[in-house]
Amino acid sequence: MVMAINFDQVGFTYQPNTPFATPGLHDVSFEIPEGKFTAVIGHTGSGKSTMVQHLDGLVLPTTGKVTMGNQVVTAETKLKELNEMRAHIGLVFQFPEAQLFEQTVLKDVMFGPKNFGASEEDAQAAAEAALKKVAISPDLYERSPFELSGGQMRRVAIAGVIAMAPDLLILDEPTAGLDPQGQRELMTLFTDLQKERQITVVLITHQMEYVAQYADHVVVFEHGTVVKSGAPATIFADEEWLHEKQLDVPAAKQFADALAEKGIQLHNVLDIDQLADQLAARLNGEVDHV
Amino acid sequence: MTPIISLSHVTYAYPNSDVPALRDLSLTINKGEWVAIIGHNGSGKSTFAKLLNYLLAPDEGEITVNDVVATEENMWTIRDMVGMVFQNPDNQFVGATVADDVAFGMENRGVPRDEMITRVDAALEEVQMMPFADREPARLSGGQKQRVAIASVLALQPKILILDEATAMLDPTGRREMIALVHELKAHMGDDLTVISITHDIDEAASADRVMVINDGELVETGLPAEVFANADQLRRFGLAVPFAEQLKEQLRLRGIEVPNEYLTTEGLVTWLWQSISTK
Ligand SMILES: Nc1ncnc2c1ncn2[C@@H]1O[C@H](COP(=O)(O)OP(=O)(O)O)[C@@H](O)[C@H]1O
Ligand SMILES: Nc1ncnc2c1ncn2[C@@H]1O[C@H](COP(=O)(O)OP(=O)(O)O)[C@@H](O)[C@H]1O
Ligand SMILES: [Mg+2]
Ligand SMILES: [Mg+2]
Repeated sequence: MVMAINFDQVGFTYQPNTPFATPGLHDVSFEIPEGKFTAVIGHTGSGKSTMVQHLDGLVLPTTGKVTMGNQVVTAETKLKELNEMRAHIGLVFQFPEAQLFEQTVLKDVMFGPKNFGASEEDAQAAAEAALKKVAISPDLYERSPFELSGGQMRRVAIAGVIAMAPDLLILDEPTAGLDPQGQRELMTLFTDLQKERQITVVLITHQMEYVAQYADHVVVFEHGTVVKSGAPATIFADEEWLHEKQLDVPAAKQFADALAEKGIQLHNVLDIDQLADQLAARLNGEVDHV
Repeated sequence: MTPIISLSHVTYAYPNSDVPALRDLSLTINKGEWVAIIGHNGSGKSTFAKLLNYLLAPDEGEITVNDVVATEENMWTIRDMVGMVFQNPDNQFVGATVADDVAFGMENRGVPRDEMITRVDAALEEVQMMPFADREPARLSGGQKQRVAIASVLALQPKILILDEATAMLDPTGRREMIALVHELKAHMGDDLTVISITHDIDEAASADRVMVINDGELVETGLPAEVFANADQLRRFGLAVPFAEQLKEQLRLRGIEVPNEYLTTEGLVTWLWQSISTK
């Protein structure tokens, strides 16, 4: 299924035409490349969650249009028209564990596939495969999701989305609040899924290490609109701009910047391997010609 | 140094579980100290916090807070001394406005009205949320909500402030601001405030006077941040994050470079590299 995504001059207002009207997005135009890993970054309140809700047909743009594959979504679109498309899209909300509701873990994960028409057997097979992927062991299948640890609940909620085998997987700060190991394991899971199934992944995160390490493409939000997009190397190259926008940079890049202030210039450092390679060359007295 | 919290051989198991969440825990925290507790998810950190506040009672062993033994009889005395702020900012609000919310705990404790107003103002001032006194808590940012939650605790004039992953849900800016706030509170209140911060954030833990590591219900390490964070292998074994400078040292070692063994902060390592490269 073709799932290239395009935002064209999209604006969105919460509670429009009421005294409580709040602008969520304005003049948003950008693309999400198909079959790639796209990271969405920006400060809290910059519009990231509002944007991804457009991808799942949860809200319609107030102005402008969103094109997903051959589906065009505007303010006039009937939500019903989007049902077919939604079957191919998985959205993991911020704090998805808040949405667990079934009596058992297995039933919770089966809900999505069944809701989109899978038989009981197919739904169960899909659920078991997804639970295996997120490393929830079978002895937890019959437990109530509410008797799990926070980290386990998060995995079950994510399994519920993976079980629907989406072509577009949207993750809204999926690792927030987890311990470092839990975060690493989930990020590995998402990248593996992306590669294995060649799906489109959209990840909202504040962790620039992940952006540098995993993303093919980066979109930067500020005050309700997109202010830049491009490859990670491009985004993190413009130091002055990053500083002006008060955006964090990957730790390796921060480190290289601190060295640069002392007069040691390295080139294109985004991750720790690039940093260590160049430093080792310098320390071994090799001249650097990059 | 006067101890304010002592645990002696404390064990606790949840009623529906046969494995204790905390096992034979003995430790002392001194008055005015800022202690960071680290440990992977499920290691027993929140259980520890709940025991200190007598939300849970130990199965075995004894806990004293400011010379008061934690028992059912002393429960309210203990709770007045130990204030807690939790991870999720949205679950902690009861008032219609920020000021109401800060007043709530005092109303419950029968603090006289005049006194209450003074304390609400002082607490909001302390966390720099005075301009938001009449706002609806739900409309604040995550970081602002956590400041209000801290103000609500401070208004009860606790001796001990426990932050149970209070920065986990915040963005990097919110996190840095919270750490700065705790520094300010400590600077103001000195030894009158003891801080226990449970965290996965290395910068937050490195700000503390001491770091304790809890692993699978046991206290496995106590030391200065520099001591605890220098031991990358041990941190990994316990499923914890390794500071960037230590990761880089490891990578340089793998590339045949001799690096200092002692713990270096980012600034420390930058300086060492600069000196080493400059003399090449
Ligand atoms: N349900 C809502 N009602 C009204 N305003 C909202 C709602 N959700 C978000 N907003 C506002 O929309 C803007 C963008 O928010 P959001 O998309 O959640 O940002 P982000 O995900 O980048 O933190 C913010 O100003 C926020 O306060
Ligand atoms: N209400 C509860 N009932 C049963 N077991 C619990 C409960 N709360 C926590 N546990 C278990 O106790 C252990 C310690 O949990 P906790 O103190 O919350 O860890 P942490 O805060 O370090 O993540 C975990 O194994 C957890 O599953
Ligand atoms: Mg958001
Ligand atoms: Mg906890």
